[in-house]
Amino acid sequence: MATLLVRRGIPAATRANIRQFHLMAGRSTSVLPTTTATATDTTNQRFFATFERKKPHINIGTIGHVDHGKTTLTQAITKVLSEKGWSEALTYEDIDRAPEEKTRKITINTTHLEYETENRHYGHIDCPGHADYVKNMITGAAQMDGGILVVAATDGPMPQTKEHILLAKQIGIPNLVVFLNKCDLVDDEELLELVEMEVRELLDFYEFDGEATPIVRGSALAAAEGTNDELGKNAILELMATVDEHIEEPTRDVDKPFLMPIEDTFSIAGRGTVVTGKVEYGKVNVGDDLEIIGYNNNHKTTITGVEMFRKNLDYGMAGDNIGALVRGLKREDIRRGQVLCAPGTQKVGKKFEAEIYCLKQDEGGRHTPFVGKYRPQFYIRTADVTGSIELKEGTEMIMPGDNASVDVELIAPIVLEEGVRFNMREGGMTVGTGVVTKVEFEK
Amino acid sequence: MMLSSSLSLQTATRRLVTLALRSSRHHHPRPWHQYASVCQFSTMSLIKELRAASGAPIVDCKKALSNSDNDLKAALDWLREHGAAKVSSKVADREAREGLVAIALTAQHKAASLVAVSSETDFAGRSQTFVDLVEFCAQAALLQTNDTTAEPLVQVLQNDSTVESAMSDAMVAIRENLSLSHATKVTASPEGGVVVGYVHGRILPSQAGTAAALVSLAPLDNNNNKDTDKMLETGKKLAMHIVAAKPQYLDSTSIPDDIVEAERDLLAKQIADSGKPPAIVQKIVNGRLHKFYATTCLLQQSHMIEEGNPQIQKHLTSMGMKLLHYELLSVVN
Repeated sequence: MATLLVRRGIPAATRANIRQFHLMAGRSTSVLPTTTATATDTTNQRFFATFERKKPHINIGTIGHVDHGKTTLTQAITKVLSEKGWSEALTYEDIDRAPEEKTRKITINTTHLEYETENRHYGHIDCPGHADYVKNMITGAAQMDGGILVVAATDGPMPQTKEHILLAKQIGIPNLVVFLNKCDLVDDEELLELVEMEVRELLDFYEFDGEATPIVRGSALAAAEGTNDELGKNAILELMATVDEHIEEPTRDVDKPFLMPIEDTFSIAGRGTVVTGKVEYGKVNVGDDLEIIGYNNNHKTTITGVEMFRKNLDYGMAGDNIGALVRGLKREDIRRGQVLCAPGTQKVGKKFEAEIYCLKQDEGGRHTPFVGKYRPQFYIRTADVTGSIELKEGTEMIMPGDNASVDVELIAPIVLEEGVRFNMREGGMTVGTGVVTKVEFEK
Repeated sequence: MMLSSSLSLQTATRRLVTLALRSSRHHHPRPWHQYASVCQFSTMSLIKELRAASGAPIVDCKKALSNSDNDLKAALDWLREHGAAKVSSKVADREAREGLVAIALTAQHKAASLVAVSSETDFAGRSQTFVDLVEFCAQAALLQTNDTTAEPLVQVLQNDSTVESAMSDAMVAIRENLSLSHATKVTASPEGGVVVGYVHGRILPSQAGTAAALVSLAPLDNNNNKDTDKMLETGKKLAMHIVAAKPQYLDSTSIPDDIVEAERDLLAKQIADSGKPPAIVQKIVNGRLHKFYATTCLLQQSHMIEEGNPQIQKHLTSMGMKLLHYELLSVVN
């Protein structure tokens, strides 16, 4: 199978993937996102620490006012967890840098670090500004599964706190945990309760469940400096236990219904038609009844074989690059950009809403703005479709470097889904990137 | 986490807070006396009222009340005095590179103001309190009698509050280094001119955003162009172009001589060792200088918004208009 693929000239990226998968003994485990850095393995020290995949991985972010102690809290978390051997203790300066990162050519200011608790491995994200969080969301650089909202008990919620919660809603954080910081500076229980009430009111207002959102009281500074164990260290451990419990693990790709975007199709004499691609969700078994949909050209089919690296497999799962033998279809019936999926689990659409980011000129994007009726190519999964962008009411122009919410209409229906990311290209250059936020499915 | 016996009390107080919070969400805080009827209950409810009215930190609210014998009005004054001073001293040396710009226009587009207020984070910039502040500053700038001045308009009176007091009120609530970094007023030419503006990246529905431009247009010939709507539309598109193209000068004559000379020297150096005769070098330098004008001078730029991207100068002439003045302000780099 693989020889055949190479001869047919499949994309270099896929070939590289296949080579990489050879090294990884055939099956990608990226669907089990659990990583742990251990520096003890001396054989690997020359390169990187070995990653052990044994705990589920969750991405969380801290949001809050500049003075409310986000950085100190992060420092405290790494310190307290390092005492358990679960993290590397970091200094305030280590965390406070927020270096410029280039993700898919786009510059984002992000602090990104990791630590673990007894049950989980955490990626921790902190951005200085609203725009950075939104860019993070659009590019998928650091998808957040949950967030810690930091509020100083001495201040209570402030005008920005509303914006922080609104942001959490906008970038799709499902659950928040609140850390009421600086509690050592407030000796009045009633005041603390008042602050908690105000926080819950705000959460309710932006459609988080205020009543059910846990609020942990503590002092990040006490924890970072090792004074006052009750409000310091213990509060941090309680906070992390609460995060463990309250922030849900996202559904793992492998547990979703099967979906594979079709990269290429081949016809093999004596066997039939093979579609290739990287399985995005779920699992496919030989004998499964699936459908191929998109471009107004939908077919039902049965999988008669799954192959990877010249070997027959019983099944393929999320992360695998496979070839699937489809019964009763000709090569011409299928095209790149369609999707092979479990029947009835996916829908096609032409119109959707999206949050987009337009690359700046020095990021390789346009140097002029656009004002609506703009028609770039949309690269969504393996599909490549022309679409037109309509600006939302109140937006008159989008400049390079802007992010904006827009309406898109494609010229052909393809499989769409909330949360799917795409690129926009024009004249051979990437001009923007975006994420689908709402789809109007075809009837 | 709450005791069941105190639940009903909690609910009751939460409702109170809701009321207070809701009111603070909309524009300016209500005058303190509207809360007067609820003020006698306890210190806690007083603190709530003061929080809702001022947005100040809860601990400061408590301190303010204890320093003013639980009198709301006096406590607000105390906060204004102590809170703002405390914030100012704390945040003064912090970088404030974010913020918002806003424009305000008079009816019939006869005058407009353009202001920029800086903040430390774009979170603060998006909050209602800040948006209100920036719009307030724009309105205040519009009330100024003299034209284009960059003087900070700290003492302008409007609705009983000055820009200075509005600024310190916002600082008490937002607690970031806020400052009015720019204020300009543009007045239209008396001979049928208009001032038009465009605000980019608006925090809807306000007239405040991340970048804005104002243009002052006038008819070329006083007799034959009275079409104000056409002028407004042309002006709007021109303002959009300015925001996108960020010209540095109006035309080549408005570039300071030393800058032209510096550019000329730079260009001459670039082709100095090409071995070409001086006359040719001179021509090449002039040619490249024109290119420099076309990127930095508004009237020489090609219009990014208008169909066919005509040169601005030619486009305006063909429309029977002339550009008298433009202003551009932007908070994004």
